[in-house]
Amino acid sequence: MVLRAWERYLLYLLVALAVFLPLIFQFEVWPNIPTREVLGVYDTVDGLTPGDTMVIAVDFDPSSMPELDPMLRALLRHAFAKNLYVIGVNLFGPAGTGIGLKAFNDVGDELGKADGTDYVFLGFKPNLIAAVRALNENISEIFTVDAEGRVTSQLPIIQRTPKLKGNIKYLVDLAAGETVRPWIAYGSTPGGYPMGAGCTAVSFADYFSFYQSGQINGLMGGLKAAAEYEELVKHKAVASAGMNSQSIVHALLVLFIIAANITFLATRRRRGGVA
Amino acid sequence: MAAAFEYIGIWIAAGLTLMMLSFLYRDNPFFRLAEHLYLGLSNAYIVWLLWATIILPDFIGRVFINLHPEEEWHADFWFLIPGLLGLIMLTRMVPKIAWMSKWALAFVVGWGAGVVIGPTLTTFILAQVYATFPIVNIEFVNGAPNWPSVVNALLIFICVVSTIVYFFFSYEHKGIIGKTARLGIWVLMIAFGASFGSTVMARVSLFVGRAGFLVREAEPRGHAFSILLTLGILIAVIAHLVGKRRQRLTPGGTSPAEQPAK
Repeated sequence: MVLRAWERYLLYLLVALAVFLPLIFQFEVWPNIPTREVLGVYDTVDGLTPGDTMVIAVDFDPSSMPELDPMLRALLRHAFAKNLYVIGVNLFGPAGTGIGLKAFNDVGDELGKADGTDYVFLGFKPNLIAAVRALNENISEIFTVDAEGRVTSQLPIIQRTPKLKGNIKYLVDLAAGETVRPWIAYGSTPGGYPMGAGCTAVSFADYFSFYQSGQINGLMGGLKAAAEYEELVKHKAVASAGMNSQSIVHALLVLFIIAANITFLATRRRRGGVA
Repeated sequence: MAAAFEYIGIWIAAGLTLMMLSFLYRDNPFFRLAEHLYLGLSNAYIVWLLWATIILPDFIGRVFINLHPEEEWHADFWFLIPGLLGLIMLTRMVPKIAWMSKWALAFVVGWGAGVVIGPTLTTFILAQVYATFPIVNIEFVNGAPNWPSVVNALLIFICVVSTIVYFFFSYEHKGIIGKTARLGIWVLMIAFGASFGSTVMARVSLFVGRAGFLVREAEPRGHAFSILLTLGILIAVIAHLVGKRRQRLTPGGTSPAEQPAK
């Protein structure tokens, strides 16, 4: 069974309407009730004492931005509201530096936090394994300057937290690729700090085994988890709005599948058993 | 001035987004322009970023030049070794001396193997095997086992074992091994189904992300989304009409709307 071009265009149009209409005429399809995996990250951040330091690894690039950027912003909002010090780093690819820097500065400015004192975004370094091991031992050695070109050894936040091992209370890796595994093996396990992760919906099933084994204490998967975190920090933003579109598109896809199967079976019956 | 640049930048981004989406109609010059711009600009940005944040501060700034004159600085000649190894990687482009690149590769592979073996064993094998045992996953409430967690723990154990048996080829898949392997196939299919469902969700999220940009950021700035979309539709309609006219002149042709999907 081959779709004609206009039938294909009709499907595109229906999906486009399902995505755009909830964004234009904002309404809530259903609430994003937080799951246990997302609560794992939220409860850990919420349980930290003001003045503690946490690390957020911005290990994604523009291709995963729609899913992971809202997660990053919700997490930053939570950490800054709790008066935590936040160190950002990107060990995935150079294109993630701009995204991380913008999110840190946007949320930091909004909540009145000082760049270099309350938070810092270090930028990108290649060779993930070597970089993670070096961060555990001496931040200034591997990141001589931060993403804005400032000497890291002179920044108050790095003077307070010269290395990850023994100094940070939590690490969350927002991963578009295979960065969670090295962070567990070379960062959190030898460094002795707990770790959570956020990933794209595609990787969620892959990383679930690490949540089940307790190697990470929370796991956020895709736009849905970002919307749940926004719900938890009581600041509905991009992810919550996006999930309305997402929910309608899912319902539409289920209808497409049912309709396609009915058409397929009807065609087969008409042709006497051969589709 | 910065606001004006941002305004123009968002118009350009909205236009490029619509150009990319125009591929849904069919391949066209606007899509190709946006595609080439994307590849060119992202590569240029990454090259600049690698130079500015890695080569300059981590090699040149450590060995040759003091990039921060206010700081005390001593040349660290140890960094010449990785710098040299990095440079000889480029010898692959000259066939006569391409063999030199093997030194750098040997160093990377040797270092990698040495560093990776230990943590891989403890983190990815032992910890994961331990987490598979049912007793580890059973939760207790007031000393009594929580029955849903018991079912869950047994399910994890059975699913993992049956999947491993499916990939165990030392014995023929007959009898109990055959039945267990068959169960393993079902487990794999369910896992692939879950991954596929998540993949669909992720792809829709990407479209939602761009749609959100068009509605929330482009539209408030001079109705960029509405104007550019109208312009795009007009161009598509004109192109379609011109195509139809050409078809009439060449009998036997079909318009894209009549062509079957590939």
